Amino acid sequence: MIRLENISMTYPAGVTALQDVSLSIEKGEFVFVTGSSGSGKSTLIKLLLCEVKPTKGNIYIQGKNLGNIKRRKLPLYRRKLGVVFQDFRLLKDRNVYENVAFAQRVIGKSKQYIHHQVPQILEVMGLGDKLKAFPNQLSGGEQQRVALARAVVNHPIVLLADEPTGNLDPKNSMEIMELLEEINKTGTTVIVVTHNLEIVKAMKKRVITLEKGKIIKDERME
Amino acid sequence: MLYSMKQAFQNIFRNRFFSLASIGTIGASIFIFGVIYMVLMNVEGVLHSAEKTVGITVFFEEGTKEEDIFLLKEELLSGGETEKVEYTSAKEAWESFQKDYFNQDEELIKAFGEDNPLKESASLDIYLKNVESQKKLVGELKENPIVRKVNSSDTIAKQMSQMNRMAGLVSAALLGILLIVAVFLIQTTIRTGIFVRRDEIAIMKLIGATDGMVRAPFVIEGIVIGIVGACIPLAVLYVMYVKLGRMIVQQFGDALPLFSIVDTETIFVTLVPIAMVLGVGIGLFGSIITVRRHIRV
Ligand SMILES: Nc1ncnc2c1ncn2[C@@H]1O[C@H](COP(=O)(O)OP(=O)(O)OP(=O)(O)O)[C@@H](O)[C@H]1O
Ligand SMILES: [Mg+2]
Repeated sequence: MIRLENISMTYPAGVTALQDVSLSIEKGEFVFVTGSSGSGKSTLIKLLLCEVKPTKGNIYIQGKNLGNIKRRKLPLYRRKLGVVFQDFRLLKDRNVYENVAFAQRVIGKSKQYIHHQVPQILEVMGLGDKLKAFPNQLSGGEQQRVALARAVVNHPIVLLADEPTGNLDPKNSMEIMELLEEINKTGTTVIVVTHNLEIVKAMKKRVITLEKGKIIKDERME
Repeated sequence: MLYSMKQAFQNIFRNRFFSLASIGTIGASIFIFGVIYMVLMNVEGVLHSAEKTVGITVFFEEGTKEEDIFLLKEELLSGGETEKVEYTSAKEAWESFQKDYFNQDEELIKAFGEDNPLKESASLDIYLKNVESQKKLVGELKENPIVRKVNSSDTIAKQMSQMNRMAGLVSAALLGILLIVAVFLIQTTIRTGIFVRRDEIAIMKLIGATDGMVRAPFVIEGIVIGIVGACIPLAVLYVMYVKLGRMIVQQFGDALPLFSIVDTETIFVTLVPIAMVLGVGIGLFGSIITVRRHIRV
């Protein structure tokens, strides 16, 4: 479903972040991407989000070449993706409910639909009693669960997570991973960038290891 | 849409300083425009009535035949620059003189008998459509061999139309500068708003918001600033015009019969739409160029 063909990415500043990377990910897979700092993991996520364009190579998602998506159609493509980051990126001036509802409002869902969906997804994330709380009143793990709720509320076909547990303690990290696995079980393809090798080992999933912009390992943990 | 409106008002409120500055400049621009507009409309009105009363009087050489004078009259009328041409014969001139100065004193009138001391006083009174064509016409008339003398209120007319044009020019320049300042300030306001909301904008883009959705609150913000910036000076101008107009009429109404104030309705029926278009136009223009430059998916 996701296919990278000989992708190279050199930033305008001249830094080469990825070099001749090819890989493919099937629908419904759960994939970890690891590697040392600066190895190009976040660049891979940015390429999938169409935030940057590769200097060489093609990316196909559901058979469609990302390079051919017109600027005007980009929002429609992005609605198929969900994304979470290490720093949560919540709107600090809105409460939990509004942060998630925001994602649905942006894609034009009706007020009634939002009112029905948001509490439900927050319940799934274990935040049923925190609808009115503001981000600064939540723990890191809770904030990340809000971000996760926002990412999946629109039923993306792919969920991208760039170091989702980077700011969390082991217990919260494991909880987030379990939620990601739940989401994966509903058929969503999940790609998780992480440094945390313990988590990677515990989860027993496919692991792609990057080093200096190249794939040095692509294996299934048993 | 409702959401965008809410965001727009929030932007304006959060960004009070620049919003007020923008509203202030737009308001000032439109206020100045309004004042100029009112003055010009009134000067125009006075000029117009002046044009109806002041004109050119042409006197003819002794022995000029009436037919020749009538011919000239026809010529002037067909020229298109004149509103009205009136002929006063020497006899009429004498009779009117008698009436005005001899006070129907039979003796005096008899003393003159059939002699007409004003026999050279046949004249044409020419009323122009437009003061500006006066100079040219006077020049042409002086060339005419049957014309003895041309009287005209040349200087007043010239000064008035020159003043009118000068005022128009100066105010256009002033208005231009103010409009540029207003657009500039709106841009700053919107840019600040974009900066304040940059996280939200980034998230919106990632979630799949279109350019339009991300931009809408800022464009609405521009329009609202434009509308408020137009309404405030309009209200002030309205009150001012009604009060000041009444005062002027009371003060000078008797002294200057020419001088009459143009109706409030006449002025505002055109001023309100112009000001609105101006305000909304500035707001829309300022915000759209900013948003196009700074918000791209
Ligand atoms: N916007 C940018 N402009 C220029 N160079 C960049 C940019 N973003 C990343 N890079 C460079 O590209 C390389 C890969 O960066 P990337 O963010 O993909 O690494 P990463 O694997 O995510 O690292 P980390 O684990 O520290 O997050 C690095 O050398 C980085 O300095
Ligand atoms: Mg990174």
